[in-house]
Amino acid sequence: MATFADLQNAIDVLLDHPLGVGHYELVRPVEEKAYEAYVFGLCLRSVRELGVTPVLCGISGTPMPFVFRGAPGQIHSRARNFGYAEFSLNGHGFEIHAGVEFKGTSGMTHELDVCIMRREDADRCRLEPDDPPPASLIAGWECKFYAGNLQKSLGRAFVGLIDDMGTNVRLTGLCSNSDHPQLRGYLQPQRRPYAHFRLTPLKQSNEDIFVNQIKAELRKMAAV
Amino acid sequence: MSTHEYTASQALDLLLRKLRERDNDLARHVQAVIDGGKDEEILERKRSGGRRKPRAYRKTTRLTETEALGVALDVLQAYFVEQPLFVGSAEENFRKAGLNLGASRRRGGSRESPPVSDEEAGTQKSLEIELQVETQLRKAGDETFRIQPVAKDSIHEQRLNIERLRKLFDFGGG
Repeated sequence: MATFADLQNAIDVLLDHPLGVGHYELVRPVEEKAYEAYVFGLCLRSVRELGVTPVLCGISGTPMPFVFRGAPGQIHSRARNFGYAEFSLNGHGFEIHAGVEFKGTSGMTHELDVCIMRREDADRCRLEPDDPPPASLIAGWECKFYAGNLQKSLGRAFVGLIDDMGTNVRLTGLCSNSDHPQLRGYLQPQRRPYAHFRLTPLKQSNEDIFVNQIKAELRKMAAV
Repeated sequence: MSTHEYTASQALDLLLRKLRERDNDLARHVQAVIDGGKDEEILERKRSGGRRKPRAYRKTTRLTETEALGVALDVLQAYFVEQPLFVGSAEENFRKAGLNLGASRRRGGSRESPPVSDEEAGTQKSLEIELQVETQLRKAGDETFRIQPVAKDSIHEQRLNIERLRKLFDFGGG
């Protein structure tokens, strides 16, 4: 029989573990950004699995450390040595960014948590400071770490954002470690972003689906 | 016959009390997720012209105390297990990437080959998250936060601790 003392002990062991409440207090200010870093890492894995080594860059030089933006910002910002990654596939140049603002077809700017874009456009926007145009976007993901229930408004907002990014974007998705059955249904229509729910190292099959989608789209785009 | 010396209600009270004692914010967050309830599809059988026609509608309902225990554990798992796993996964994928050893070199539209260190593919990269953003008027505290992987054994221990509690919270339905 499970005793009350067993229960008390099990709760204490969980909460007082080095990865317990103390860890929560440590990671809480960056929990969202840590999830973005994870999704960015999955993009790097996709590129690597295509037989190409992605290269980490910084806007002002070698990215040591590799800095993620704490808030949406401009691709040309040199406030810090913000990091990004670049790679080439069959002569096509690409970059992976996090937290960069794009210009929508309406003229309004939108932040993409993680994205893959054309390197040529990224170069131009760094050289002559500007927000990248919608046509420069190849793939974009909204990333939400949720310890609880996902908010429906996130899905609605992201569908609106993607709608303003024009018709050139090839792959979009709402990534979260959490789930929301209604949002899954909302994102079901063909032209809406993919629902990458339960995208977490605890569900390797979901990681594989995410990675393979990127690989397939890059292969198609670069004709390899 | 019950295999527990305690009820689901007592277990939930104990968990929330122990959370509050350690971190009120986390306790409040767990409570808020529990209070968010759940979506349910209700099937209703209505008589219509002598025939029974099932009708389904959605309703947000309260969690049972056993369900609340499961939801609370999901929240704790997200922080205690998933967050370290995200960092570990990111660290691994960044470690396998190369490193551009030069400054951003975009002049006159021409693009030279980047000075890339292949040897860097395989070495650990330092990952930092900006805390003081560029538009912030008054800045205090650390500028950035370095995310560091933790030992896999430690994450595994917490997974086992979560699983142990799931078993202790299993009241066999309802």
